[in-house]
Amino acid sequence: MKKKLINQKYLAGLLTLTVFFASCSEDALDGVNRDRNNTADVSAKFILTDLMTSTAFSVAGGDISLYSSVYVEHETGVHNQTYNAEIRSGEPTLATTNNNSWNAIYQNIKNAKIAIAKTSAGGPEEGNDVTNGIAKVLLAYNLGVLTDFFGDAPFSETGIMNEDGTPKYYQPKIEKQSELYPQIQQFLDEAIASLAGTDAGVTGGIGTQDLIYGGAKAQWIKAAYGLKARYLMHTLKVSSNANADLATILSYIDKSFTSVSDEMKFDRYDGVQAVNPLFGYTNARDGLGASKSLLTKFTEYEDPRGEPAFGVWGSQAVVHISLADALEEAAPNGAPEQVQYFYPLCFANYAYGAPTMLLSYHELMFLKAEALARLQRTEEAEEALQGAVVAAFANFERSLEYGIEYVAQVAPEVLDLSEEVALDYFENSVKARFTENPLKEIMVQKYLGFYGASGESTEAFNDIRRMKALGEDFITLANPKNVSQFPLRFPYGNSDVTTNQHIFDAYGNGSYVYTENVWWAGGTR
Amino acid sequence: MIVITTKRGAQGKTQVSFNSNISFDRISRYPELQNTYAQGTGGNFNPTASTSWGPKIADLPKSASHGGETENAFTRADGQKPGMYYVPQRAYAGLDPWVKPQAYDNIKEFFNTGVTFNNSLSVSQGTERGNYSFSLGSTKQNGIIPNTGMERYNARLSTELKLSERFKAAFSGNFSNSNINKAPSANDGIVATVYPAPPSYDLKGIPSYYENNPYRPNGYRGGAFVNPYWGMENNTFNEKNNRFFGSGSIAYNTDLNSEKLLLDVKYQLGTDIYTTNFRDVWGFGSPTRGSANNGYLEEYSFTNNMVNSLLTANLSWDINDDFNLTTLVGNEIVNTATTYRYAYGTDFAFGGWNHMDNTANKDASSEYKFSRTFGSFVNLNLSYRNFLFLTATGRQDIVSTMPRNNRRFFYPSLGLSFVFTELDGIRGNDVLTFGKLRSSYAQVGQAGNYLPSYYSIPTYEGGFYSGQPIIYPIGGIKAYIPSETIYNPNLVPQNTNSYEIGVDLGFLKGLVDVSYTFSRQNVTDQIFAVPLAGSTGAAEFMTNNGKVHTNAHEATVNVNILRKNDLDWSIGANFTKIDNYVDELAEGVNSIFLGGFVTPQARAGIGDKFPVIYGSSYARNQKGQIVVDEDGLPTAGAPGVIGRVAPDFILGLNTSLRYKRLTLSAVSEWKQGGQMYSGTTGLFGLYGNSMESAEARDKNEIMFPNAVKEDGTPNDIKITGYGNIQDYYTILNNIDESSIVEASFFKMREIALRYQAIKKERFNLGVNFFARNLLLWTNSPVIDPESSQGNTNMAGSFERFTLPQTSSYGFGINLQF
Repeated sequence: MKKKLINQKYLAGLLTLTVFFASCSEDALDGVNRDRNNTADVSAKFILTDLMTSTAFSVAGGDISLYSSVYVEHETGVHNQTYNAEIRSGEPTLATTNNNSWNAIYQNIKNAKIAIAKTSAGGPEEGNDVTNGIAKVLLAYNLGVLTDFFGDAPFSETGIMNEDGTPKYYQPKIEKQSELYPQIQQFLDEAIASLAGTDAGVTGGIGTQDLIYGGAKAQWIKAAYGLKARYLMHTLKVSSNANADLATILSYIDKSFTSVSDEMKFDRYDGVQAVNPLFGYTNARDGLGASKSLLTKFTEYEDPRGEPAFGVWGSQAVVHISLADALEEAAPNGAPEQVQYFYPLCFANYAYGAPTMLLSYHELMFLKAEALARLQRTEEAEEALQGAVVAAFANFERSLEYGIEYVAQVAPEVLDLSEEVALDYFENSVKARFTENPLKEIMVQKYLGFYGASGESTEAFNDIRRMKALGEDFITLANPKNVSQFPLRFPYGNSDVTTNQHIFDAYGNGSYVYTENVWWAGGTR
Repeated sequence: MIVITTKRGAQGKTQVSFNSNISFDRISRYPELQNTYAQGTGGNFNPTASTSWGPKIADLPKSASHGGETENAFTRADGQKPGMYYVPQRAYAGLDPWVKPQAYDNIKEFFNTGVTFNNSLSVSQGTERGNYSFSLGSTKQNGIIPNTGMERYNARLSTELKLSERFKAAFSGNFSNSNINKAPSANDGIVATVYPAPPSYDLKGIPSYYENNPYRPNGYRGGAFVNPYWGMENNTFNEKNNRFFGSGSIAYNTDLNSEKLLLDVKYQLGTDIYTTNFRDVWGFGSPTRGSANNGYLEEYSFTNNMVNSLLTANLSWDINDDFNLTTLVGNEIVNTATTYRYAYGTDFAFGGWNHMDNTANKDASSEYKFSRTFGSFVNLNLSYRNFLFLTATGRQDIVSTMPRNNRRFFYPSLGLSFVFTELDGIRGNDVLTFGKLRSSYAQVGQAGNYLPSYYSIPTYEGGFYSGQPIIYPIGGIKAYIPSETIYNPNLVPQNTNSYEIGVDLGFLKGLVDVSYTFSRQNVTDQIFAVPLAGSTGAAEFMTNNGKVHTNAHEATVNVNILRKNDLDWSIGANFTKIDNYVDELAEGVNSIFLGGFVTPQARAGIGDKFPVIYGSSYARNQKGQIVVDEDGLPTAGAPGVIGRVAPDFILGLNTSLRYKRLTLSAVSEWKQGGQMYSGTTGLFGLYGNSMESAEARDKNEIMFPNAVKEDGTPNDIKITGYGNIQDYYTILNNIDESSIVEASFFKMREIALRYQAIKKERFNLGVNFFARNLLLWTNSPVIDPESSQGNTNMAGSFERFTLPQTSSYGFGINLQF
């Protein structure tokens, strides 16, 4: 009995030892620690899908547009963060305010660089030229927003990895905006060249992974030219030959969108799996009220967009009110009460399905009108402006429809922003002011056309700063804080302020946002 | 190494023991808040404002928009209502909207008295052939928040059987089952709507939903901040756990045919298996949850399966009369498999049935993780007579969770202790009856979790949004991006070297015991997820990043003042001072992130006793004085260290007094020094709930204290005017430093009274009464400084509408036969 048991014990021990040596080799443990839950690699097109979503949701249409809308007075910030932005306390200078956007842009830049490397010569997906071109357009786009809003910023050291997958640069150095801007044009030029090719690489074409154009390369080429026009226009103040640049801008526009169906937009918000970012903000936070200065403009111009757009919270949901009543109750710029569900608001703020415009057809037409007007080609400018206004009306109408469907307790009796109504407005209101000062009216209409749920306050903020730099005081802003505290830029993101010495030094206490213009607006940083 | 120790039955007759107690929990410290000013902003009443910056409650009938004595939409409809004002939420609920204003104590009305029952029964017996012990326990708790609580049942069996003279077999098994209903936390938390509720709003009295529509919440503010009464009825956060752990072992011992040797060989196979099921439901009608407020639910579970194989051989050798050596060698294999499953369903079709099958859109994911550790160890204990003891150990681990070729690590320890009162000449001393000197050195290796770089589905959460604003697939299209966490492929195990010296002294035959220990821990290659600059394109880097050290002093004194047959009295004190410092950080790393928000954060940096709180500070001049602007308002300076968390010391005091069968005991704790971030304290100012904000309004004056003006002279700028005073609090709350509070406290941890009513050889009955966390003294202005959130790294340094601490009172009986 005793002996038998001992034998069994030895057997057990032997078994244990066998298992031990077989299962603690490095190979066996690699197997144990294998990551079963994630893929080690994907082809570039899957990276680009989110690059598009993130560029739309987190960069162009998200917090950047939200804070811009407060600074350009498309909206009045009435609660918490937007209120603080409105009264210029905290938020405009705090590194945390735009940290999420800052991080999203850099994640996009890194992802675009990875996708480009994969599809470039020598990469595993060499030959996928269209995918390569799309990645370059989106890289240019994110670089554009980055430097427009944050000025001098790290770029070339972003997303550069050592052989072992660790970052090569933990504290990326800051680069001058004057050096970053030419790269935007360069990436777009390279994109146009790549887009002329095909997706012949092993992983196949981008197809439906392209959430913007469904893989239609002709439209990407148009978008790239449109962006070239936008970013060249930004630098008018620092141009050595403005007229030549304006002619170049027109030549780019000629190769860009020919109709609304070409415009570069993210139109994938279904209200369930994906929602418009302004809707997401409003639904969760309700920090925006109707801006008094904006409603004053709508009223003055008898703009048909003002009448159906606004409502106040009633017992169940939002009850439509007239523009006159909305103006009466509108949130005063710079000095609202900090309170939710109180001030009138625009139905568009609840436009869950409104697309985010990355470059709208109306923006392109406004750019065209501006370039023509600056070149004194007034008649052609008028035609472009008219097209822009019609397209902007249609986009705003669609946003209002979404918002009314979602949140109206009492909907406006009439919602008609059709081409006919737009043209009527053009004839009876716009035209007279255009005749008096074509450029001013173009910029005012562009400013009004950017109002809504499509994230275009982002570009409106660029326009306002651009015009200030050129001494063109076309848009009247009412916030009394602007005397000394108009934000000239956004503060650097907290993740860098707290870990990157270069950014920590450049950030200081954040008050530079009120004093330092970006390079293209006549500043040095 | 997991050693499962279980209580085994003692030899003899069956022993039965039964314990039962009940306790009642209440919030330990209610914040003292103003009850003069009504909901609103800028001095005007507003029924949807989150703030209490409205008119005086008594003046509500004069409100221009809602007063019963003014001309407004409501009096136009209903006529003048002297002494009353219109509350729209009452109208929505189907009540008469016109009421006389009054102040409500919303916090006290919301929280319940929690009740906890504990019952346990155990049976044990020992026989010649072995022993067994069996016990059952149950706990039932109703929380201080309505509809929250816990039920827990557990059963335990352990037996040991002598198979023969040489062989023993043992088994032990524990099973437990728990069911917990929780309250949501952080920004979704109940406290975030209860604490700042305006005193003018009748949170309990006004129904939490619209008349004839139980799925339409009705509250004092809109958006995601749902009425807490509605939330507790409609939203549920449930956690259910089933767990079994236990082991079987077989042991063999032999004297190897020598009187001086004893060998024990034991093999044990153990397991720990549990499944935890979570179910979080935001019910139909939940504002901002699901599209069109239709709600959503998440169901997720973790199944963990751990198997532990342990083989040990223990040899005890009495070398001669003076020396004894025990040697333990062993091998341990731990294999763990974890499965996580997640299911998400959004948009309930109708109310009343918050079930997955009632949702319109669903998503699911799963995760599988495995890990394996091989440990081989040897322990040597050598003793010389009964006063010199030497211990040496060594262990090598091989772990699967580290990168290839960095998986193997060895760590030794060495200890020496010397009972010098056993030396001839000192032994028998009447004053110093016991004296021991201890010293040790130990190294401990700790593995991290390494993964090769990977791609994952991007998620969009947080920021301003409720829930997830984007969920892939979008129209059936998936996307993948590189992980935001980068793992260092050269990750090596973290290494802790501890040195300890100590002395234990006993005086006057146990009348006074004193002990003191100093220890120093040097941690090298600390493994941390280092936050990366966003401009790198990634969020964090899992790596070894530097050296930290800890100095700890611990001293205890126990005095047995009286030791008589009918009367005992003892008092004791223990003093602890633990200081942590960072000595060195990896290149490119400025500080270690320990937890917190985007701002402020708990951090460890070079030169500061950590943790410190890092965030936006007040702007200061060269002399370090806070500077106010021309309006008398502080402005934000550069972000930096704004609070120091580490306490100077912690002193515990305890005493026990027995008279015959009655024992009175008390335990208290004094924590001196240290600060914390109290978001609640700052937000009470922002929201206009704090007493200080009411006093400022009463006096129509406030001044930022202890600051200088831009010219360096002391600040004497008084801020007056209702709106300016509100702005002052808004601006203050935009600077993190304004929410840093002192966190010293003295707490009476427990006072207990025990009475042994019956004390016989075969029958014992005792009753006891106790009160816990009864008294609190603190320099924290509003909250109990122990209300904190976050992980242990943060050392309790953060708080923001955290669930409050409780005091408990209760009594129990214990019975043995």
